[in-house]
This record gives sequence, structure tokens and C-alpha cells, in this order.
Amino acid sequence: MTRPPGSRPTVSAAGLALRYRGTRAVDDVTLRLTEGVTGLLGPNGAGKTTLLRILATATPPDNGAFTVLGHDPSTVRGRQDARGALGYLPQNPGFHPDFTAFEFIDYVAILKELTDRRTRHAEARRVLDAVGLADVRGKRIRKLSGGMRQRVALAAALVGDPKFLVLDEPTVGLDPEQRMRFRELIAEAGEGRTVLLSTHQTEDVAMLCHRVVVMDKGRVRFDGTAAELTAVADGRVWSSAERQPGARAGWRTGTGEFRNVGDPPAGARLVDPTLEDGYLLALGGDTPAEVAA
Amino acid sequence: MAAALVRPTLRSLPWRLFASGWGVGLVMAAVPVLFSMELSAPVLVNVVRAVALCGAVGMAFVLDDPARHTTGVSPVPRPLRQALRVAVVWAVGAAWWAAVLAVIRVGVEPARWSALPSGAVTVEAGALFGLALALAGAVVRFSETRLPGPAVAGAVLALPIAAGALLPPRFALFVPPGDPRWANSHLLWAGVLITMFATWMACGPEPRRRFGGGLGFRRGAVG
Repeated sequence: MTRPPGSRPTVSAAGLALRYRGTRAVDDVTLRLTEGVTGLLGPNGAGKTTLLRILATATPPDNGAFTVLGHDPSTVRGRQDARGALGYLPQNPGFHPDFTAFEFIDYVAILKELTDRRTRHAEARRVLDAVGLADVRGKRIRKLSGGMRQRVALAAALVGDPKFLVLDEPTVGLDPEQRMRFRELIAEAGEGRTVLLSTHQTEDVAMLCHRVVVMDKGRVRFDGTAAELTAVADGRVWSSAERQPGARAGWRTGTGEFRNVGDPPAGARLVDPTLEDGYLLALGGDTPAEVAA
Repeated sequence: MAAALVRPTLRSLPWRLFASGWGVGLVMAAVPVLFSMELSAPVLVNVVRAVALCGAVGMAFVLDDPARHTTGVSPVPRPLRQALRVAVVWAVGAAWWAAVLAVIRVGVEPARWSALPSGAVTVEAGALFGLALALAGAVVRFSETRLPGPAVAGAVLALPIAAGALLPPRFALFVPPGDPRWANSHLLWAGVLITMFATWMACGPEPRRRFGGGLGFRRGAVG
């Protein structure tokens, strides 16, 4: 496991495991998160959401232990303290559609134990301003666009200035402009906080994350920086006029040539790898050690 | 904390769904009054039971919460959040039940009203409401669903009917007034009421450990 030098882990997990429908959704995951944005990449069904739900204290694990900012969620007190210190944006956030954005955030603030009305309202205004929804805070959630609702969910996660932020595919379903805006918000949120961001988009990771964790079949396949993940594909990406049967992955590009990832044949025309190439190769590893940086 | 939560809890409840069940029940109770029907005590009790079932179907939606996953990871414990919802809905439900009995009383002669065991049928109604609550609590406890209401409403309709059809005479629940089994059946109803409440309370706390594993549904759901 690699992490930026000198940074202290804020979230530590050891041997986390959870079975779901007879499969190991999360299988012996050990992880240490530090301040900044960590990207969690993986295909559908890799176990990303389950891992995020465990770390957000939304689902208890079958095995393993973890701490969030020093709190142990396996105790009642520890879980309450951990929840007070974290913010969670689930994969499909739901709302009370008749609430206005402000009312909903105010409700979340009460649930975060902000009991003083004035303080709470100030906090609701602060987080709605932070996500750029100050102008529509009096609008009912049912009348907001999908992107705005997603921002309401991010605002809800930011209530109480949590030091650990868990974001499960926050940019899914957003148009490119909204996605850029959201990336900016996440980058801002990552200053002075530990942010764990689950995503399918390697662009999100390349732009936002100081560190990348790749998961597949419930296990961590790679843990390192984005540059290290890209470096996994050094000398293993080549272009060709025909599809290469020996390539681990290959696809036709806009130029009509094929881009191949895997072990190149002799004399292959090597090209510069991208983060996505490294990601594809990381997924292909049979054992976590094969591609760990 | 709890005081601050009352207002948003009130606003977050699916009042239209409660009102649908309660409204149908109230109309059902009003029919004999509106049409000046003279019903015998057993028929009247069965009408009251049907009305109670409508109310219970409405109450099946008490734990429906579309924002469950967005608000579930909060320091306020789930039992407190659920208890607030239940307290509010049951308070209004109690008022509705009093209104139902009042409507029925209007259409019944005083002598027949005194023969109507209103306390006993109130226990039956409470047990049916408790059934809705226990089922909703169990669905929330053992699944990730945000809206347990539709499934629970179906079960609330089906289970009493199945119990009426399948339970042996000794344990009959739907006994006509004057039947020698009346007292025993109401002990059974009281038992159901207590069991349902106990079930809901047992399902309330969020689990700190999952148990079992791999049976195909998420035991230990929180939020």
C-alpha cells in the first residue's frame, strides 16, 4: 500500500469482508485513507458500493475492523461519533420531494445534532452556497433538475463540516458541464478532508485524486497514485491495423486503428499509456499482488 | 433534538397514503349510518373489523422514507427516528379510530351501542395496526428498501384473512360477540398486539454486526 509521505491515516480498515447473495461482495479489504481525494475505481459489481457503505457505517461488515477518525463503529458510541464526523452521498440519493432544498438540508442538520436553530440555518445556507444552490434554496426538490438534486445530496453530505466524506458515483447522470462543476466541488471538499470517491470515470480520478484504489470481485487490485496506475501500462499498449487476439483488451479508435492493451507481440508499435489502460490491466490481474504499485 | 425533529418528521410522512386507508375506512363506517341500515351485532362487529383493516393498511406506510439512504447515516439513532414517526401517526390514527366509533354510534340505537364491545374491537384494531408496524419495522431492518409500504399493505390485508381461514377454532380471532370464545380470542388479540409491538421494538436498533451471511438478502440494514 502506498500513500503520500508524511500523511497520517484518518480511516483505517483491516480484513473487511461481507458476503451478499452467496458471493464475497467485499473480500479481505485492508485500506488506509489519508487527507485528500482517494478514487475508488472498479467495474459494476466490484464491491465498491458495499465497501463505501461499510466505511460510511451504513452496513456492518461480516468480518474485519475499521476506524473512522479514531472512532470504532462496532460500538454504539463509536458509530454515533463516527457518523457525526462523516458525510455520505449514496449512489441513488433519495429526498422528500415536497421539502425545499433548504428544508431538507435543515432536516439533515437536525439529524446531525445541530439543535440550535440559528446555527443550523446558518449551516444550511453555508452548504447550499458551497454547492452553488443559494438561488434555489426555496425551491421544492421535486422541481429541481437531476444535477441540482445531486448537489442537494452533496450539500447534505457536507453538513457539519465532516472530516471524512464518502461519495458514491456522484457524477453519474450529470451532463459534462455539471460534471465539471461537481469535480470542482469535490476538489474543494478534499482540502483538509479525507474524501473517498467511487466512480466509473477514469477522468474523474485523473483530475481529482491523489490516490487510486482499484477493486474487482471484492478485492483491492491496485492501490497507489494515478501516475503509478498509468505506469502499470508502460510498454503494454500498442496500436495495430487489425484486432490483436492476444491482447487483454482492444478497441477500434476513431482513426480506424486498434488500440491494444496487454502483452505486446514483438515489433509492436507501442503508444503512450493512459490511466484507463492501467486500470484495464489492473483489473486483469489474477491476484492483487500482480499489479500492486 | 426530538422536539426539533417533530416538524420535519410531520412533513416527511406520506399523509395521502394514510388518508386513503383511513378515508375508505371512514366511508365504510358511515355507510350503515347514511343508509339507516339496522345491522345485527355480529355484522356490526365485522364492519368495524373491516374498517380497522383499512386503517391498518393505511398505517403500513408509516416507515416509508424516500430519503432513507440520504439521511440514514446520522448520529440520531434509528429507534428515535422511527418512534417519532410512529407516535405522530398513531396519535392521528387514534383520533381517526375515535371518529370511526363516533360515526358508528350515531347510526346505532343506544341499546345496541351498549352491546357493541368497543373496547374489545379497539384491541383488535390496535393489534392490526401493530401488525402493520411490526412488518414495516422488519422490512426496514432486513432490507434496503426505502418504501416498505406497498409490500406491508399487501401482507396486512392477506395475513388476517389467512388467519381467519386457517386458524383452528380454538384459536379463532374473528369471533362474533356473545360467542363463548369471545374472551379467549381477545386474550389472543392482546397477545398479538404485545408481540407486534415487541417485534417492532426489536427491529428498531441498527445492527452493529451482521449475522448469518449469504442468504440472499441484506441482514442488518441500517438507516
